[in-house]
Amino acid sequence: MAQAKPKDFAQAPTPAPNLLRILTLVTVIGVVIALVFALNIAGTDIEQGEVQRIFYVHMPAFFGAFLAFGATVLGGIMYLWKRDPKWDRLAVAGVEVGFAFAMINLITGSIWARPIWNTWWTWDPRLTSEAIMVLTYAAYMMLRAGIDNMDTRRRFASVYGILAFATVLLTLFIIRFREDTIHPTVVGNSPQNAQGTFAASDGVVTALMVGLVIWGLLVPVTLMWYRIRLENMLDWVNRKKMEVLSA
Amino acid sequence: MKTGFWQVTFAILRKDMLAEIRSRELLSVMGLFALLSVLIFSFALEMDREARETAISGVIWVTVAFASIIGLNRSMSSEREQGSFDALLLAPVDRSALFLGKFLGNFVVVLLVGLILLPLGTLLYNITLITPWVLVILVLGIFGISTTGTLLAAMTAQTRARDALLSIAMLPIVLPVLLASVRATTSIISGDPTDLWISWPQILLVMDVIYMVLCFFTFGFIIEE
Amino acid sequence: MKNRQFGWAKWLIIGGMLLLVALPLYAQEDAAEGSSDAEMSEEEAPEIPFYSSADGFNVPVLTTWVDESDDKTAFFLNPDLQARIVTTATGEGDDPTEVAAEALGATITSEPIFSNRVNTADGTWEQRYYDEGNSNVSILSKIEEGRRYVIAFIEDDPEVAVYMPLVDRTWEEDTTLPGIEQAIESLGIAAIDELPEPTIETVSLPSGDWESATYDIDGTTVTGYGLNFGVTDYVAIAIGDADATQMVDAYNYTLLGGFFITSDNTAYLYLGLAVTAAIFIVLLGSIWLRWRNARRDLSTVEQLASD
Repeated sequence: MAQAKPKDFAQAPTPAPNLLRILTLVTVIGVVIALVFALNIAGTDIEQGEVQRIFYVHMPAFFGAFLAFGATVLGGIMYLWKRDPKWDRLAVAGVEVGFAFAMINLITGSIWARPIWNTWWTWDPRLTSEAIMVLTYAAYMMLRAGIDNMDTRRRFASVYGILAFATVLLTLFIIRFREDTIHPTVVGNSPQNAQGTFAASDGVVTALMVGLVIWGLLVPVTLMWYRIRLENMLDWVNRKKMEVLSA
Repeated sequence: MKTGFWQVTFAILRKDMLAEIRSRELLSVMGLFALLSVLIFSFALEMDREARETAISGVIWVTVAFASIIGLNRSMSSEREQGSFDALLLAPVDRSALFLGKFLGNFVVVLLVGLILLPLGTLLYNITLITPWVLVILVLGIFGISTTGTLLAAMTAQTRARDALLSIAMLPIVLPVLLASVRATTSIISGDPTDLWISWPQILLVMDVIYMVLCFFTFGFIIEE
Repeated sequence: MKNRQFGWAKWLIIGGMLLLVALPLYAQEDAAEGSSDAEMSEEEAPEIPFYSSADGFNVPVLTTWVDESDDKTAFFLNPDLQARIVTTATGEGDDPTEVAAEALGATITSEPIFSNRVNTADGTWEQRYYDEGNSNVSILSKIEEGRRYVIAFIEDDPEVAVYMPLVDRTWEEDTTLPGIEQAIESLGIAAIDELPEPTIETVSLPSGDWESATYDIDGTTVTGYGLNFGVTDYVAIAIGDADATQMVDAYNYTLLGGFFITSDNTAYLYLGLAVTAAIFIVLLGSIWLRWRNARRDLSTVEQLASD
């Protein structure tokens, strides 16, 4: 099979490379370690009770989403520059994985808020901007699904993926715009009207750091890798279909 | 030979403006929508003066956002239907100049709607909205909405869902602009001291520049082929 | 189509991506700068060491007392004062007196000299007071989330008798004198109308500024301490000449300084973890499903191609 591979097309699917296998194994072990740190090693917060442990997933999940959406921006820029679909695969993987992490961030936050703020949801600036961020990436997926031409789809998605990052930045910086948020910050001091703050003791910091590495880096990277492989596979199937149809 | 950048920009702006002056289609639809929206809000929210002061800026900006979606949809789909865009693409012109022309057209029309809204709000809500700073915020806010709006409308005009997709895609992205505009307007009309809200126009200006640069450079990718 | 628009921007993009990684940290730092006032006030507040029970309640540690707590019961004793303070939790139906006696290592055989229920800002407490000759016992208990929490105080000093009753505030004035007098009557020491004029002082203790009233009742010194705490007056009555302030302070420090129950919200933690797991399973499941379908399509297409 010495045919020239057109740049625009996918590569033949290969069995998972060893690096991916190792990464998967490391990730699985890492998740277990993160859970042990969050559930056993970190002490129980005496004011908030056991539910405070949700935080060790909640905050790293935002960073996981941030990383994945950042990858979408990178993928978008690189696709528009190089026009190599592999960059678009990175972008779409970033959106799907980031969306999952943002949902985890949103829902775990809501579950934590029920016993601590005594409500599932409040129209707090940070919660609102996070919800809008999730909706933006839902719009990204709808936009992708709404375009049939592969090339147009990739171009539009790249542009929208870059623009959508504005909402991620808004969620990050909203505490600066609107001081009336009740959402606590853990690194640094919370706004004065924050409700549900807790002391960042050594155990908390350790469990948080472990959580950040696992949930904020390892898990999203591994998931994105699998998602990229899937997108490559889908492109490959499309290419084969085209070949059969044109033959 | 390539036509000059500003020549193209102003040619497109002139074309859009002329078409609009002849048909008055966009402005009448958007103006009517704005009138209805402000009326409906004033019926729906029966409030005392203080509550109106906080609500009016929200009403104005929600109306501006939705009116601009209506206008953008019309402006881009008519471009597609008449095929004038495809013709322009064949011509050796700078894509960014196309964007700037379309953007300026949309900006002017939405700004007109905004300028109609201010006396309307003043009349119906009995709150003075026509002050220099409110006008500054209006210009900055509509600038931000129009940049992303023009880009996304050009994008969604080429999709199946079109109108529906534009609102879904555009609203979350212009939200930072809307948020800053609403906060600034509320502060200004309730007579807060300048240093309390001066950061809002600054933030708006920064966002306008960022959006403008992003949209200016990415527009070329939207209308290839 | 070759696009040269970004040729010059290569390094800009790389630099931008690097900056991007630093953004979350910058946002957090900013929030910290904005509230340096909060930082100041937080540092000024002294760190109170807390005892946390496996049964879910917390009390401040009495640092000057001997700590003999185990993992479920907080137990502090002061050999000089011959006093013990115990905080424990038990089943809803258990008798607080029996539980307190067992935890204190004392026998309580007499009927309470006084008992009632008091509504404090912290819920309804049932209080019982016992006079066992040399020993005097104060027992507080309340039921919350299906558990009964018991705070008991005992002193074995034959020279002195100390009780720590809580009194509902039914008067408007700021003084705690009516509460002290009411407590003296309730404990059966003397009727309110027969009380002589007291000597009133203010005693500043770590638990608060107390008002003390000393009476001379038939040659016996009775000292009442009172602390206004909103709907409730925290009162201590000491019969005898010994100075009871240390005991008063220790016991009320336990009560006011921070007895609180860590709410049991483990169910929410599990719900959160379950949702997290569910989202990952949905994502992985959808990736796997799409992969399998793609594989199937591929084999169909390849078959068609070879036919």
